[in-house]
Amino acid sequence: MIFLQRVGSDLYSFFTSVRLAIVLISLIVLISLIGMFVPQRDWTREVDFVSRYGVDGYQWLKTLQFDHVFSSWYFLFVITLLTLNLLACTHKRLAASIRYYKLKQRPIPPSAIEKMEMHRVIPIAAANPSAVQEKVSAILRKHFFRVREEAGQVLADKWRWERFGIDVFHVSLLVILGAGLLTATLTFRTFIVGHKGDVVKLDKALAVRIDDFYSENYKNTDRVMDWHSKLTVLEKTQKPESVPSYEPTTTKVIEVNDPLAYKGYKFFQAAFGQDWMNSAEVTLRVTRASDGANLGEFKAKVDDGFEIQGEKIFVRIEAFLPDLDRAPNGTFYSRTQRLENPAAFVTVVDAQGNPLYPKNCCWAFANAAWKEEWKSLSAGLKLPYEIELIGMRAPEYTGIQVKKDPGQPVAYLGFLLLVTGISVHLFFKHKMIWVEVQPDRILLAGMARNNPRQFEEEFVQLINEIEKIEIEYRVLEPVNA
Amino acid sequence: MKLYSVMLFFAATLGYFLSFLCYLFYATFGTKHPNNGPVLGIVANAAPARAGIDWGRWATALAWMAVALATSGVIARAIELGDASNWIRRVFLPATSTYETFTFLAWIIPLAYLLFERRYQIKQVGLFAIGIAFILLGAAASPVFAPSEVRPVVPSLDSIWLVIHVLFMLTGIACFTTGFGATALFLRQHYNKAEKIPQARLEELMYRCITIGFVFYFIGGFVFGPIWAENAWGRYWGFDPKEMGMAIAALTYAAYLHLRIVMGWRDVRVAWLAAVAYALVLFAWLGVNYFLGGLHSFV
Ligand code: HEM
Repeated sequence: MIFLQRVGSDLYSFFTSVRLAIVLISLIVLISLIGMFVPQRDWTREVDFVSRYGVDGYQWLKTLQFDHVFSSWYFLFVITLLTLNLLACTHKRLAASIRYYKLKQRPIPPSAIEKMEMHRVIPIAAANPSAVQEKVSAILRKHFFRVREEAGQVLADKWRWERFGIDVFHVSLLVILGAGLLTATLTFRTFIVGHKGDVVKLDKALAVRIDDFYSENYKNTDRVMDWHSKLTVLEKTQKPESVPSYEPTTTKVIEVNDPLAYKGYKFFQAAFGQDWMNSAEVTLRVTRASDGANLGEFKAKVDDGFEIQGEKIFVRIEAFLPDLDRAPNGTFYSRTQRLENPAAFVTVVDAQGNPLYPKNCCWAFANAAWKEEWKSLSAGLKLPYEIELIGMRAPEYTGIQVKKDPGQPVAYLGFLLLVTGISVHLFFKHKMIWVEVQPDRILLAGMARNNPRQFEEEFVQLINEIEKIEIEYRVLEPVNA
Repeated sequence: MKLYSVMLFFAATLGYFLSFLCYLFYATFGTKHPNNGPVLGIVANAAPARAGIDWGRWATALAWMAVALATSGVIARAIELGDASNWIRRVFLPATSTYETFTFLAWIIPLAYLLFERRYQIKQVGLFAIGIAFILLGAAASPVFAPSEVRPVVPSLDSIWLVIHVLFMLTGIACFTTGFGATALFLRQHYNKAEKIPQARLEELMYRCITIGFVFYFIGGFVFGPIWAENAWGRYWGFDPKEMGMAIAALTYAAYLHLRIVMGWRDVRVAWLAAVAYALVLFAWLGVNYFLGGLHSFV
């Protein structure tokens, strides 16, 4: 038992140390620096890693988890330690804050008042010091001080609760970390590449329909002002007697920065453009290689193809890349979603379904330079047909990000606590005043927790007001020579 | 197209330049007299009257004038931006391009400095703050580096949360800038072993600037930024280089604050830490856009 208590208290003092906090913060900074300079795999393709670091370098990155530092075991470990650190610290400091809050302001002997950094002695000659004291108290109350009298002294203070501000702030960091954990583990997320009329089922009871979408430009320019999508949420009817069917419940035109929220789901306008990757329709010109005869121009969609009757072949469009590039290791990929260097990947089979072309063949290009390059690359293959890309179209699509995040209310609670806590810490400081009225002088001293300067202006103001108090003068006794 | 904001900023540039000269004269000739504590008269007494020109007063007066010009410049630019953007929904913070960000900072940095000056009266720091404002306006005047053309805002920038986010970040940067002026002076005096201004006062100014800056920067970056990102992109935090740059700078300042407040460090070590933190702020603001890119690099 005693052993366990020892371990417990050692752990507690380990985790309440600010030194540990500094070390952990430094580690987070270091790891984040790595994550800032090394591209992360979430938004970087393998080919880009390889072209930047080489195959070996990339292998090292992967081993050290530098390509995903923010989900690496060591980052999560440090964050966990910081969480424990914050918990322990907050616990300890909160206890101290509560003690502080309960502490009573005590009278200070006049000699000590005169030694305080911020004090003032106002000479008076009062017939009735307690009347003066009443007036001083009234002034302090007017400035929202809580005023009390003890041992002939006026004790006044305000904003004592301010000390909790930074505790609330530290708690808010914990709440936000918690929200992050919920978001990271429980968020349901999906991306809809939507076309007009599409209905996408989200769960057993909910679906969303894309009624319409459009892009809006600034007047007289070709700059995009906003993208809009009109969405209708459909919900399964609850009525037991009827056949379950989806009924529209709510409709909203969403736009960038203005999502639709419904029953925990949120729908964001996330992208807009032409759906090249999935639904492109291409036009190809096919030429027989042996005699150069033009066999015609043919249209087909990705994942579909066309027959050339006379030749007894079938040409299939396997893929379409709007911006083809080749990585150093030889693989092809699309650099962007824009139509910069369009290319179609096609296969050709004969009537029996036997491939006429070797594996990984062939590409049809539109861009002249690439056409040439492809010709020289494929020269050795003796391909029976030459296929060129001469036209392409794709339907517009609207990209809708759908999210259901149980962490959201927690995150907002954390934000609220954060702003409240730190604002209290910045704008309020616990202020205390001691006033002792003696027949020939008023002694007063003031103090603000941690930041005396924040009190100076108000203190000067108070003194000015106190000096204006009308004092019933005491008749001084003649001094006998 | 004639842009009134551009002319107003030209005028402000001139104002900052003159003010900068006065701060320079003040720092060179004007420090024979003891540097006074707060004007409030409790801790220190009033300044002795000085013979000759009071460069410090001229410097401050000119700086306020230039700030007034820059204020009208920022307002004019907001109107121009609103016009160009068909006034969709609301007034924008004119901080959507390099030109606008620079001019905006050239307004808010001196403003923050002058507010700190009122309380702390350490005008040597003004040399730095007003100098920066002048340089920013100079850079903004370059048509290559920062074209002043008005472009309507792109869809993701059309949000009140973005306005608040950017306002808080830039206010934070402005406070940090004055803080860095104090830090630099603190370090210089330390290594030159010349203490014209009490080091403790510089240290206090540095600390106050950083606390206030921290509050704006932290809330702007960890609350309003994420709220906006969630509305625009459907995620609070994406660990992208800009976000991490901000987080790194903010955490470094947090380390500074803990060392100072909780461990009581007030010497060159923490001053160096504050200087590093400021460098990180600059990197997060400019460096990331130029060297690293990412979703955030519009400006
Ligand atoms: C990322 C994490 C943290 C951040 C951003 C943070 C931020 C802050 C801030 C801004 C202050 C106010 C400083 C000032 O008065 O100017 C503060 C104070 C303080 N923090 Fe933290 N903190 C963090 C973690 C911690 C941890 C882990 C501990 C415990 C070891 C801790 C203990 C304290 C203490 C004791 C104070 C003293 C406040 C006072 O007496 O006025 N903090 N923190």
